[in-house]
Amino acid sequence: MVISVASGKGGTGKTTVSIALAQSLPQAVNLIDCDVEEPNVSIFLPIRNIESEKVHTLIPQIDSAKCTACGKCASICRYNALANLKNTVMVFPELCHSCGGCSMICPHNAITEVKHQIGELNIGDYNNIKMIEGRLDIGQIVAPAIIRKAKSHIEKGKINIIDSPPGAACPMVTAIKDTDYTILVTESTPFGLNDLIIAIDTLKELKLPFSVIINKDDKSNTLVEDYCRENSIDLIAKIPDSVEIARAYSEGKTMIDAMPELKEKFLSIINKIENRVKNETNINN
Amino acid sequence: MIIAIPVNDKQSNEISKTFGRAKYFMFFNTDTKTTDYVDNEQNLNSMQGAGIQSAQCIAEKNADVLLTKNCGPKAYRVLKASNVKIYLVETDNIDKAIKSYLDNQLVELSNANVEGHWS
Repeated sequence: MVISVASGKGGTGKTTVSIALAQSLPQAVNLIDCDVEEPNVSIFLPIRNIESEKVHTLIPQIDSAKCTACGKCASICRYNALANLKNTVMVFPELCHSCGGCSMICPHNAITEVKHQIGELNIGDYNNIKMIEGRLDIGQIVAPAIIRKAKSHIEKGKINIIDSPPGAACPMVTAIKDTDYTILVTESTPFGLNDLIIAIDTLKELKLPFSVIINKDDKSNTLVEDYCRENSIDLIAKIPDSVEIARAYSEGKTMIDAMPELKEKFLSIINKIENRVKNETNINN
Repeated sequence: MIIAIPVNDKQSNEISKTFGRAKYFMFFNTDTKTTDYVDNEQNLNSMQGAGIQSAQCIAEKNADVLLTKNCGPKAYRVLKASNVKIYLVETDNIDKAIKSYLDNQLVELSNANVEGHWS
């Protein structure tokens, strides 16, 4: 089973919740850090036995001897990664999405696709958790390519937890696509609610089942709770705003480290989700 | 020679603050004293690489000189490779900008002066 943890607003506690879910399980679990622009699972878990593999995409290389600057490649490129100049073509590797269109359309076979490093995967373990971390190189922008590579380590027959990037753009969609269930972590603030609604719209568009967790709940307002109730959105748990959790966080320790009694709560969240996935109940229509 | 300037519309005398996402490019031919406009609408909402497309447009119209208020790094690369000379202007006024160029009051840009908007 694959559970993705997303949010909308950043800083609501996706990584905190992802780690808590993984730590609550007795059996082996995969924790896949897909927040590739700023992966932070490894800040909170002392991951060992790390093996790294570089991740590459393909970018066009122009053979200037064969190129006539006809402009067909620049014209077909949706990402403006190619500029057609008077007698040559300029490539902008960081904008390229490796669709291969330019190489296909070149009438003179002047384009070959060559490997271009964009980041790496770091794979290691801690207790029952196998961590697969995607990390985008500084200066690169095509996050989805690394997210897909990280997700290729999903194992059937195991529970896989995906720590998604924030927001509701391509990186988040790539992370949560084709997962069995999504948890949206939010905070009960106007910004939290605003961005939660955007994330919910995205999930509904993708027709993916989901539930909401309110993190840092200080009971000062019921903005998100009211919204969920009024819109029949499943609120699966509330995590209290607690000094112990905040202190542990500031020391690079996990929620379960701070409050081991929360293990049961997270285990029951996973059990609820497992049952729903088994029964394929999409309770949010 | 042909002088290119990014502008907001075809009527006013106003220079656009941005290059890559300007609404139009104006091309002034100093020999024939004629003015041409090219629509840059497709780059206004381009998710990335607007500067690259815009610079290509300038090069395609055989401009020798670009007078602009700003020029980003990708646009700069394409313009330099196309041998277009880039000059930054302070004024918002098209006529004043052209005059200050012809009076040799402007200094050629040796690098992008701003970052890209998105990427």
